[in-house]
Amino acid sequence: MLAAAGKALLLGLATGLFCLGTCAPVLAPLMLGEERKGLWPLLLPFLQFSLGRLLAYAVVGAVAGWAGAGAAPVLTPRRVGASFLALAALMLLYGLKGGFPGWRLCRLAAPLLARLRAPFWFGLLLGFNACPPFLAAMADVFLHGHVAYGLAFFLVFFLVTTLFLLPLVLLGRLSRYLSLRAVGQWAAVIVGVFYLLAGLRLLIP
Amino acid sequence: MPRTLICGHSRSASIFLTTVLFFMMAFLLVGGNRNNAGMMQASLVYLVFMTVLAYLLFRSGRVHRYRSIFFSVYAIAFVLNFIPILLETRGHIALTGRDIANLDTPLCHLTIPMLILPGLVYGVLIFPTKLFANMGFYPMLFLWLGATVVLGKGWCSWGCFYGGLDEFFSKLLPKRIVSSRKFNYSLRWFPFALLLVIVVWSFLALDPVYCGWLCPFKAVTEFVQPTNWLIWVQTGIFVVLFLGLVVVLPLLMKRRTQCGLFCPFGAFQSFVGLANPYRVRIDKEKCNQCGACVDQCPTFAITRETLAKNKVSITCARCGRCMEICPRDAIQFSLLGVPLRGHDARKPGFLSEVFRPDSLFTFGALLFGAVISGGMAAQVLLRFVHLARTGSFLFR
Ligand code: SF4
Ligand code: SF4
Repeated sequence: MLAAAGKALLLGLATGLFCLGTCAPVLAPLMLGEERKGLWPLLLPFLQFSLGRLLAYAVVGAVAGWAGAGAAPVLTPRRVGASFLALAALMLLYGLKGGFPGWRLCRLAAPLLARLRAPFWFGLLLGFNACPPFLAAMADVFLHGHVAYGLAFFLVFFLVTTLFLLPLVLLGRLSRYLSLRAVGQWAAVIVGVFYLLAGLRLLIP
Repeated sequence: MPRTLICGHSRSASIFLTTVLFFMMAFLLVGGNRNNAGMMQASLVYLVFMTVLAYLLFRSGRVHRYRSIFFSVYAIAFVLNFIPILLETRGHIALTGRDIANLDTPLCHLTIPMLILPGLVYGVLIFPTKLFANMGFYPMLFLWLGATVVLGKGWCSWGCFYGGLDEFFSKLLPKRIVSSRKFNYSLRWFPFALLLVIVVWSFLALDPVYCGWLCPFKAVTEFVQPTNWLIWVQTGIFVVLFLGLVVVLPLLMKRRTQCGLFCPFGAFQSFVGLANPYRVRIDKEKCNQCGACVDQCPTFAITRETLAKNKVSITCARCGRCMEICPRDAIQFSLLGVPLRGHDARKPGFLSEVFRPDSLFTFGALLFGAVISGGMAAQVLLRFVHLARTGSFLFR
């Protein structure tokens, strides 16, 4: 379980910084749009948004684990290794190219969601995103083939991404110093290299 | 290159600052060696060297030039001293399993970000070093804390015994071979990503993974004795990273590529360094956006984007290069919260010169640098004398 938590943490780091960096311009006005005084009015939309994301992640984790359980008999170490290599390629491309324009779902959906001004739905839809670190997380759970593993994995994934979201949304200070998108991109490259090594270790006896 | 307007100190202010610095350095460098005649003489030589450098620095205002000489000498002295000490005390450089079990590994500051979480959560030190030994945990922790107070992120240009190696190689060739005009400045965020990954990874694995896999300086300090193919791979990585980031790229680009584009401790120090009150600031009244500083900053801390906002980025290592080459004297050391007043020669005055932010910062940085480098530099001088007399660089 510790290894699962570690992988979820690293993927969360990569996806958290990058995707939230992309979505921040929409997310921040959504959270801070109206004049809100006091902590609770500021926190409430954030909590609604987080609940949406948590629900989405739980569904993804459970479904990926369940589907993986069905596929377990055909998942040989070589196939797992090969899929790690594919994931590594995806992560490296994603990090080095700065994302895939067609896949920036949250950016596409953002104008509509921003108009809806419903943080829960925004969180739910953002939760079903398709960026490579998220796909890597899904693939990892699928390859393990346990619903409980999937739920735990995505819970950690959720917590890590929330950690990044919290200062970004509530304080917005970190982005004054860092390009969160660029840091996320490079984190994706590093995690990609780790996947590459893990894949090679499984493939080379 | 455009004509520059470097702002030095008047003769009287330079003599005053250098004299005060001299007595403080003498007290700290020579005073500690009263019982060892050889070390005392070698420390005196180093004291003279530092005093001359300090005077030239204050008088000419060329912070970068004279700092660079000090910093390179310091790093080379470190390497020339560290390896012989290992040979004298352990008999070998490569770490064996027994050395690790005996906690005989000197700790370096690069490990600090990886030690924090395991220390706080589990109360364990995940690096095989002794707590109180020379270069053990507590001495290194106090050195780092002191450096953060005095230098902040300036540690990377005045205090880090590895950074001087980058600096040295970046100064060797007179001209750039690889232009950085098309350089991808998003690379300067790589150290932050690496920092995040190694902090999390070390916490989960309870192992300082950066030291095991990625530290370029293992190539010139110590490394685990290769006994299987995995350790050979790790050693190969150290050597490739060292040659690439510390030697070849600095030579070709005349920039500090390891420090600016790789070192996760530098990223960490960018944050903790905010606790230090000195900053490098661009005066928007004077700057004409010529971009000379973007091209010259050794650590890639000024980009076209930051310049447009008249800012240097959080990664600025307080090296002084931009101040030396700015044709309009638009970049200055400043103190947090104190408005930029300009420190040109048109406003003389002994006291205002002595208490200029750049005087205060460089004074503290030189003193700190002299104190932490003094012992190593003196030892290396003695080693050279020993070499001339006996033919051996080792004392025993
Ligand atoms: S601070 Fe302005 S004037 Fe000075 S070198 Fe940079 S761009 Fe040119
Ligand atoms: S911004 Fe100036 S002082 Fe800071 S690292 Fe770059 S050249 Fe040196």
